[in-house]
Amino acid sequence: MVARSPEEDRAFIDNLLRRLTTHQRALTRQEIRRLRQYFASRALPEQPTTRVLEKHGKHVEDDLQWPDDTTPDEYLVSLRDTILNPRGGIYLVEPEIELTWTIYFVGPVPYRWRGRHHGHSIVVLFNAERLLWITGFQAEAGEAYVDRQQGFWGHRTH
Amino acid sequence: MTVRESSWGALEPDDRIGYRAEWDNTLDRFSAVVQAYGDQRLDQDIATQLIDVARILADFTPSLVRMQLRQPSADDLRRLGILSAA
Repeated sequence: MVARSPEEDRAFIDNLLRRLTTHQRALTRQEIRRLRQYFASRALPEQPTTRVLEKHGKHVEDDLQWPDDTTPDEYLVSLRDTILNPRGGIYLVEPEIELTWTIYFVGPVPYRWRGRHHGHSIVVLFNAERLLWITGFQAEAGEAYVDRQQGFWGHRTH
Repeated sequence: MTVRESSWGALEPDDRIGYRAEWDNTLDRFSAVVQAYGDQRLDQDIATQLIDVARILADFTPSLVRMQLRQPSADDLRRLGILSAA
């Protein structure tokens, strides 16, 4: 395991995403691993922030996509697991409206995270230029929801 | 929706991206419920609520357009009797 500073990590990811969005190609195994590690450990909040609580309120408490008793910490765990899931997909969306790229991590909904109105995939969105978490929810249409966002797959869901 | 539109321009781009993504998913959910309605799998009171929601969505179409949010499909609205069949 190579120890890297947060600045080195950030520079690598910035550079990788810039090349990826320019050439719109498939990711290598090493790139997939680095992206998953970076977004799971550095971009997704470690603790429930104001945004996490807001999204937990909407998707867990109001929409019942997760089981009723899912805490904000557990909501974060489910998103982190989705990012790290080797069977999950990585999708990038072109900036047609807001002029900034968005990266989606997509994975199946494990049984333990199925609420009364669960979806068919968990999707976790980040701003791919500022490397900040945007939201995470369960998509009713599953992978088809992601497929129609007019972007491209860096790595297809298995 | 009126409140959302009044603050739309002041939102951070990430918040608008998130809201659009979530709204898109909400309309998938709406379509799934309309499908259940078409298959006569909804209780009458739920069907009535669904039609009320569809009317509200149709009324807010200009706001949805201005915010570049997905609109309910014409097929779904027709199925609920909100739009007449062409």
